[in-house]
Amino acid sequence: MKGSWRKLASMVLAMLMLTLLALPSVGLAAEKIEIRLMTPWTAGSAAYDQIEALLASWVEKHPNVTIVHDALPTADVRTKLTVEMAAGNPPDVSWSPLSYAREFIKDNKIIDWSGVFKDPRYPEFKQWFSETSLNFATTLDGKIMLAPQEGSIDGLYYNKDLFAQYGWKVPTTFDELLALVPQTKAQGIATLVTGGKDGRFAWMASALLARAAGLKNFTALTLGDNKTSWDDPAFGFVTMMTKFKELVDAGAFPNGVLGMSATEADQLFARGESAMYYEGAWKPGNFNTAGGPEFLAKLGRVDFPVMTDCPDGDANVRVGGNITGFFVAAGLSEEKQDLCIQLARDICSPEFNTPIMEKGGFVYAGKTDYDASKVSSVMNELIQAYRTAPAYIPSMDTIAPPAVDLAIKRTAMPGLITGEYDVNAAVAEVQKAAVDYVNAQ
Amino acid sequence: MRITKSNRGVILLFLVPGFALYLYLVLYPIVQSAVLSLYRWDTLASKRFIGFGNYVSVFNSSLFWKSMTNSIIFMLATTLLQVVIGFFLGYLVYLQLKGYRFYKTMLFIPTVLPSVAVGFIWNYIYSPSMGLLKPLMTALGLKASYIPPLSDPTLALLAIIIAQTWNSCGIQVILFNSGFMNMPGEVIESATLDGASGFGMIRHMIIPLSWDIIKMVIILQLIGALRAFDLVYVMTGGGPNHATELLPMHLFVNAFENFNLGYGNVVAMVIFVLAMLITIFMRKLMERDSLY
Repeated sequence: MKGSWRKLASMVLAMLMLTLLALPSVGLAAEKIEIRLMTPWTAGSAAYDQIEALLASWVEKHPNVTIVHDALPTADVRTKLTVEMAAGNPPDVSWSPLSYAREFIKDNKIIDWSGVFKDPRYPEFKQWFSETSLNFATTLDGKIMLAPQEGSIDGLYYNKDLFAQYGWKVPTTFDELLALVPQTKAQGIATLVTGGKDGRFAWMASALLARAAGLKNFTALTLGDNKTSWDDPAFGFVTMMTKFKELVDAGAFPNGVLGMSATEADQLFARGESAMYYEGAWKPGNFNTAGGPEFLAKLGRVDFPVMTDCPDGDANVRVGGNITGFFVAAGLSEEKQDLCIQLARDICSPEFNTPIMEKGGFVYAGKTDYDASKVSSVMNELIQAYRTAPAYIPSMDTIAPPAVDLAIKRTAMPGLITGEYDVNAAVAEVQKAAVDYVNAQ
Repeated sequence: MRITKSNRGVILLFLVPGFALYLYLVLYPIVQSAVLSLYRWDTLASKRFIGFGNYVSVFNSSLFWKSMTNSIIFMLATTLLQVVIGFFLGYLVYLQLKGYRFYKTMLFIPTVLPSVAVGFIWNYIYSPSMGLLKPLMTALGLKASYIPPLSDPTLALLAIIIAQTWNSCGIQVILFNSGFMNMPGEVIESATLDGASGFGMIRHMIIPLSWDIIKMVIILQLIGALRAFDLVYVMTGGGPNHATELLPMHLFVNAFENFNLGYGNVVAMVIFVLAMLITIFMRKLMERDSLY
């Protein structure tokens, strides 16, 4: 009897000790949460210091949270996102272009932001972003794929000094652009440059298609019911490629444009060896790196020239809009998902983005007041262009299925430059990619 | 150790860990890749069995055949250049001429550079915007003949072949040199006393005596060239207009940029089968253990 009492007492004591040992992990200390964030803001970019400061303050405010920041060049973010999503190990919060988010939301791999936008705990999103700014970020069934952050806008950048020196007219129509080519070439200066080696034709593809075929046809080809009508002249893609071929044949691009990275193209432009450069609103930051503030001060921005002979073309639409943003991975615990939404909210806030915009990093997608005196003249022109655009058309790499985008910027347009394709062959390559993509769905 | 009935079990037991690792790390991915090549991904998460549908797509793709042609040209050209240059430089080092240690080190330096660095160096040399080739040709009065190599579809692959040869030749020099060092000294000495010298010595003595190393270098180089990716990725990304797209680059673009993982797995299987065929073919072709 004495022995069994002793046995019972030892068991109770052991259970008590176990309970005490387990207590700290149950309730005394909060659970540690790790958030993995992926952005294209690498060291040296205008946004890098800002995001690092935000993350440091975040960790201070949330002692139980650690944040791992994967900062990679844009192309690497795209590849890593694909691989990690396919492997079922995506980052918790990440920058993403719309075309990628569209693939991810089909599988419910990322959260639908429409619920967050309606959630009274997060009233800020509705205050910061207008409904129209969410147009392309919303799927046909009403899901919002990304929290908006960067507002993209295109620019046909031109070197004001060169234009003044040689008395050239800044082109407002496509015919004027073609007429400018022999004038710049006579001075040994290229008319237009871009990073051909990096396949930087996605923005020009959208601008040309907008001017040749208009927003309605563009949307029908990329998002609507006519995804396999790229070779149908009624949708304007054939006209767009014909116009691009006219530019190539006129000699608008410098010799070797396809072997030139975006950085090399920036250098060429900064040295005054090219009169114009066409791409998005992040370029002033690159131009500043290539030529310094003095060069930046020489730059002006205009819309991509209008095609007067294309009745379907849209003269006012600008390439851009909210075509990139941040997603939160689906399937997280409720607590972690809330923290990720809060982190994405802070990254998309005016407080975070306005200083970057003032440094010339990019245009912020939301409503904010900024100090125009801190910003270069060309950046002010971009911000105004973004805010006054009557309509946007996304760049091809953010809206078209990846296979179609690649066929346009890596095959069809380079093929016209090398002379390996005529317009029909170039269009056929795109059509084939589109048919393959649709058949695979 | 003799294999007997009693120790057979122990021997098999010792083989199990290595075999298990081989199964898991080598055979399983190959089988998995073959299985995945029979699926089509409707989305990233859902796939469906389509039999040989991906194979039909791949073999009907003009871009696949273009990358296959590029791969074969790249494989043959880099092998030929590296074996010939590596052999002669390795022989010069073997002769231990004055300062040979310095040259040996110099020849090996490009090999220790990472491919990404090599890509940047040669990009810089070829660049039409800030490179070395253009000013050099201008200084030589050949400005009008300058064509940016990486932007011209007829020159781009050649430009990468040159960069690849520069990068990898050092390792062939060392391999050949170590092969030459193992040749029996008395045989070479007798040949020298019998009057063999120059190309006669190389043709009748050095090549037959180092046949094993030549065979190994050729096979390694051919298979290495078939898998080449990093230099192409850095220098051209496969462009202009797919002119430098080798099979691994074609795989990468389709699997990871196009979201077409089934297609990518078919290309992986093609590379695997080609590597096997090359190995078998080369071994058959060079079956003789020695030419001597």
